Amino acid sequence: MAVCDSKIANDFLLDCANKPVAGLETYAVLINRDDIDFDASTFDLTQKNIIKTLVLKTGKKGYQVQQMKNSFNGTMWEQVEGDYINGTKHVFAFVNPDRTAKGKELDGLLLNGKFVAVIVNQTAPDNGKFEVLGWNTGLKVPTAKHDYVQTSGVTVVTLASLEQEPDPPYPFFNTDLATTRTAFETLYATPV
Amino acid sequence: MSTKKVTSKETSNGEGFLSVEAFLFDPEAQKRCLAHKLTQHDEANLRRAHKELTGTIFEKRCSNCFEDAFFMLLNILKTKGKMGKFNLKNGAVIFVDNKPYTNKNITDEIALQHFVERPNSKMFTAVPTADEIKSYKASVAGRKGNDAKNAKKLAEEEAAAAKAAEEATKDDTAKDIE
Repeated sequence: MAVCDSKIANDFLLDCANKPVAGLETYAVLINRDDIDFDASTFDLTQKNIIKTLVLKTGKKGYQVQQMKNSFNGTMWEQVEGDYINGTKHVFAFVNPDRTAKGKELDGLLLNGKFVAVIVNQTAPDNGKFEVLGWNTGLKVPTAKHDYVQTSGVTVVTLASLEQEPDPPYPFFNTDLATTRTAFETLYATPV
Repeated sequence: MSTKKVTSKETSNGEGFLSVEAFLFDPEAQKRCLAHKLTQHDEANLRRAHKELTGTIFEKRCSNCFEDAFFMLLNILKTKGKMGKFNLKNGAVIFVDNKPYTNKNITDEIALQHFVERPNSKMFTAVPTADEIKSYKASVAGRKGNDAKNAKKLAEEEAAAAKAAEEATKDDTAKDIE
């Protein structure tokens, strides 16, 4: 029987050329978890927590989520105590500014879906720039609120892994930053 | 009231469909698009072009959707050309000869080369048949054969030229001695 007590194998040191900076880029991508082709998606063989290819099923696409000011505030991961094994909770927070009927329909569709979010760190080393939240268990909506007076007319949504994720969010990186960015952009391209 | 059956080769008002290139590159159609004055015939052509270039059915969801789609399709046509048979799934990036390919730059030939190298690849929306792979391999072998023939011919020509130059030098030397 495997013993899963993990051992660290690296130093925790500051890279002066890549000082940590808080904040996320303007766009993230939200994907219906069921639309991910897990058979075709692969992890890096050397740095095993890196998702090298994130492939969607035929005809499926992801959807862009735009940050307005700091509307991704609250996006994070944290350690959670499990019954038998400890894990993490991933949270993706955003607002839906679309007040059309379509936008309101989207609010409804979020309530019972299961999603995976790809976020982009504002400043990070190349292989830590993109991160994937909710890969194993998916993100669901524990809170969604549209206060007609208090919330600037937007719907404030929080998606969180309600089940325990085994690891912190996986980095998404393929070969170099340019290739990874292209891969990120193809996630929300019109499928052909 | 008599109803005319509309064939797939003509739009609902009876005019024939234009080819994708003829429609999108037509300066008059582009002007009508910029002026938000697309006709029903234009819209029918646009729907058909959308299907042909992206493989998906156009859905009008906003007031400017036809105009936006027109220029999106024009851009696709200019950058990628008509849709190939083998397209990558969204998110997929493949490397062939160390060059990355996505749906923006993939061609059927590159896709076939990828499938020869990785027959079990799951990155594409369609998989080539054994016959397609076979004919691709044959065409590559044919090209390599031609390259080898050309290289041999070039080497023979170079050798002949070198020999001629050598003989010319000998003649010059003999003349100098005389």
